[in-house]
Amino acid sequence: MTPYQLPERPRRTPYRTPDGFMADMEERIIARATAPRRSGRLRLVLRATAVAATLAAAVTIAVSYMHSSEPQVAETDYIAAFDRLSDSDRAYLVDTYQDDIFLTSYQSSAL
Amino acid sequence: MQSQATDTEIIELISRDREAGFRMLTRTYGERLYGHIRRITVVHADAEDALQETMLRVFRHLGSLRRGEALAPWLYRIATREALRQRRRGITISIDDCAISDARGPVADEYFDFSDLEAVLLQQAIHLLPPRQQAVFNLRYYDEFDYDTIGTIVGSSAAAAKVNYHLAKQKITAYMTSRL
Repeated sequence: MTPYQLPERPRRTPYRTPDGFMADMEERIIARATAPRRSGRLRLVLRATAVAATLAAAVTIAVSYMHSSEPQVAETDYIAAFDRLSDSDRAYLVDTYQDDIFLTSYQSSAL
Repeated sequence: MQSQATDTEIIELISRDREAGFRMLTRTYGERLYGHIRRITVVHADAEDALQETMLRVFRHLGSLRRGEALAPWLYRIATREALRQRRRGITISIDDCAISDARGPVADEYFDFSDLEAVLLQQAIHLLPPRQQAVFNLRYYDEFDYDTIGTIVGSSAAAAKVNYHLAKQKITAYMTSRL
């Protein structure tokens, strides 16, 4: 059996695109990329809110465990645990939870 | 391959007129990046989403570009990450996890030409490779990058990229020989 030889140019693929796809895509990308973004201050506030919401969630869990199971964990332990996280882990929590409607609602009502 | 001079032109235009420079970048690299992404995601709609996310990310970081910088490795690194992220939404897979193989071959969508049997089988063979080998093979075979650039894109050494390419080529040859 003769071993298969990879074809030289043109190196074909079976993938096709709709007519005018790239031109259309360029306009969509430009429109999205140049659309006004949230201001830096607003983003900072949202991030701070998300961190607070995460802490509030941690406290809620802590309180529910205090009433339901042993061993009990103090609220300060959760805060201390959050403080011990690396910057990237904190950023991850912020990115993950800043748009969480339940956590941010809880945080808003708790304040 | 994109010449360094053209990259310099793009970066200079970006520094003078961000939007015009970005348009030039999109026209120069958009189609190639789409092709690269599509070979990873397979489905056109997924490639479309990943390309859009790639270009938005690029736009937000245009300010970090330095004169004389080669654009292709930077763009392809972002595109590879976005394409894998898009694909991960359906299956758990990582470019760093060579032990996991994605057995999803080319799937039917409106923008897939099944009439070219050899090209279809070749894509099936590529999709049976571990993710890193897939990426390295595509970057070498279709985009014709040198191993240094490929290493930069996939986050490995040039030597490791070379080994991965040859392993991939062996597996593809065996698969294609048994089917054609």
